[in-house]
Order: sequence, then structure tokens, then C-alpha cells
Amino acid sequence: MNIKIDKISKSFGDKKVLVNFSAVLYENQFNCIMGPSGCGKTTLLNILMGFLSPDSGTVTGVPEIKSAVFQEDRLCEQFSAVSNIRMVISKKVDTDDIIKHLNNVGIGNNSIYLPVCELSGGMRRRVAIVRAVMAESGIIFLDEPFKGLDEETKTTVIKYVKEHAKGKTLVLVTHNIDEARNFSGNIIQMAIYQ
Amino acid sequence: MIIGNSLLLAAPLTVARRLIELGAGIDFWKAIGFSFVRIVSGFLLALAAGIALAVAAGRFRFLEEIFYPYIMTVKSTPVASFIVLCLIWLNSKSLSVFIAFLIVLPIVYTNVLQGISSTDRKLLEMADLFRVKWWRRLLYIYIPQITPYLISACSVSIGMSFKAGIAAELIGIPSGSIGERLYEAKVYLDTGDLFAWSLVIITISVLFEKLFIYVSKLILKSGGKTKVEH
Repeated sequence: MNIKIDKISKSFGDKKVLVNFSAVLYENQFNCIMGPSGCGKTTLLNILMGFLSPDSGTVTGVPEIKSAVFQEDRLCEQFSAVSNIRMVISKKVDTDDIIKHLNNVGIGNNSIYLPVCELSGGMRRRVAIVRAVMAESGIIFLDEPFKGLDEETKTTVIKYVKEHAKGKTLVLVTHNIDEARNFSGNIIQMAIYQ
Repeated sequence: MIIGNSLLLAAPLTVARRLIELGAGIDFWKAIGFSFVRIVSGFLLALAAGIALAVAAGRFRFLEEIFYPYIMTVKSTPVASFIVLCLIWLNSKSLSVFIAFLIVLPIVYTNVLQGISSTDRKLLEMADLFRVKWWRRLLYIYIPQITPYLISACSVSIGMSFKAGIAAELIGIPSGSIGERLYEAKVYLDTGDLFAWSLVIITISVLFEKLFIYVSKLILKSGGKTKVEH
């Protein structure tokens, strides 16, 4: 089922962030939401994730079970990369599988059991990405997930996401056209409301 | 001149000699055991009740409103008033349990509730989105968040529970307690005994505090990691 965003509006005080915004996000496809900073991309994502309600308009077709990479990593600082992923996935998933996924994005075995607060920003980002990909969900929201990654790592991670998120609805928020092209899916362009 | 007068201030050597004499008798250890078991029981009961009430108030905000006047009353009422009241309600043997309980409960409740209230909202949002089970939320988000608040509450309240518990025994004079020994020291103006018993109270209070905090940190740290990763 496609996600239909129908004429939604959202304001914070006097500031109108979204005004009669409509779009369709296609099921089981890569959907990229693009636009300059401040155009309401994250607000739209928060509405889709259920953290905010629109002032008017409707959103239909969002799967019940979701996963996400937030703008901040939102990891449990004192726990390891493996534990952070274990938190959101079924007991049945083998720890070796988690390690394999972490290795796939370039996190070596010497880092996987360290508390994530001791990892670099780039490594933490990759842990958050693996967590979102491994979680059982029908849709993955990615809010600027590759921010802070060097080009080589970014290429590895994009390849990993494309490979493992196949068959799921993916909503990528970015203002980088190259990232959007890399996923070669449905691109939705947003603009700042004047 | 003052040091020379053992009635006003006992000399360190007198105190040490009294301690050795007292330590040689079985009654000394029985008195320590009597008071220690009761005060620690009161402390542990308050710890459990304080955590349970704070978790309930953190989960259902209306409970915080309901608990507030009771917690504030317990916090502000002079210990002596409770001691006298408890002497009417309870027998003097249970007095130190109840007084330690009353002293510790508001401290643990307030600190743990503060820990829960300051939990990172963004982490809770993440847990909601990923539909993280309640026990995993507890293990990954709440326990690490509450731990420093709980340790700080325990650190403050252990000393206070010993102080208040012994004060209660001093007024209730339960037979075979440290409080009774202090009372006797007062009646017979035996400053050497008073200092020796005070030293004993300080020692058991500090040792218990150090041991309790050490074990708590060990359990809270290792518990999360071993359970989760394997």
C-alpha cells in the first residue's frame, strides 16, 4: 500500500513549516525527500513516524512497524554496538548475524563490544544505520543518514542499505542530490514556504 | 585540661581501651547485630518501596500528585515526632526498622523519580518507534539513567538511616541494641563508652555504605551487559 500524504499543514507558533503539502511514497521502493534546510523535511518525517500530528490534512498507508535512522544517532551510550542492535531485534536473530552486518559497514570486531560512547561519530552513525536495517519493519526512515561519513565509507554504507533494505519501503531525507541519485528511486522535491 | 577530664571528653587511649574491652564480650557483637539488622532492613525496605513508588509515579503522572503530600509530610516531620508516635503504635524492637524506613523512603523516591523524569525523551521516542519491549527499555534506557540518582540517594540515606535508627533506639531503648548502650553511657556519664559506641556506629555505617555502593555498581553494570549480549 502506498503512503498518501494529502494536503497536510503544520505550524510551530507563527512559523508555517508545511502548507497543504501532498505527495505519494511508493511501497517497497526507495523514496527520497529532498529540499533545502528548513523546508520541513524532518517535520514531515516526524509526522510520518507518528511523533507529530499535522494541523490539517491526512496521511494514510504508513505501515505499523517502522524503523529509522534519526538525525541524531539515538544510541544507548553505555551499551555496545551489538547490544544497541540487539535491543530492537528478535531474540531469535543470532549474534553472529549482527556482527556480520556491523562488519559489512566497516565496523571491525575490536569495536563491536565497546560502549558506543567510545566510538567515533562515523562509527556511531553506522551502528544506527545497521540497527534500522536489521529491525523487523515494513518501512525505514532515514533522516540524513550519511551525514559525517567520508566518501569511501558512504559508498560502502549506501551499498549495504540498498542490498539489505530491498523489498522494504525506504524514505530517505537528504539535501544531497548525489545520495538521492544513488538510490535511483522516487524523488520528492520540497521547497521553503514563503 | 579538658582532655584530662574523662567525663567531658574521653582520651583516645581510653576510647581504644574501652573498644577492646567491649569487643571481647559477646554482648557487644549482639548489640551491633541487633541494630544493624533492623536499620539495614528498614533501609532495604525503603529502597524497594521508594523505587516501586517512583516507577509507578513516573509511569502514571497522577500518582506523583497523589504521593506528593505524603512524601512531603514524611520529609518535613521531625524524626522525634515519628519516634514518639511509633512508640505508641509499635514495640520498641521494631522502632529502628520503621524510622530508618521513613528517613530513607522520601530520599530514594525523590531521586529515582528525578532520574526517571530526566530520561532522554529522544531515546524513548526511538524505543516507541522500534516497539522495544518494556523490559528492554528498563535495561537499556531507564536503569542506566536512574543508576547515578539511585547511587547518590543510597550514599546519602545510608548514613542518615543509621543516625535516625540509633536515635530512635536511644529514645525507645529496645533491650540489646546499640541505642540502649548509648543510653546507659549517658545515664552513667560514661564518656569512654559513648565515644567507643559512636565510633562503632560510624564504622558500620561507612563500611556498609561503601560495600553497598560497590555491590550495587557491580550488579547494575554487569547485569545489563551479560544479559543482553549473549
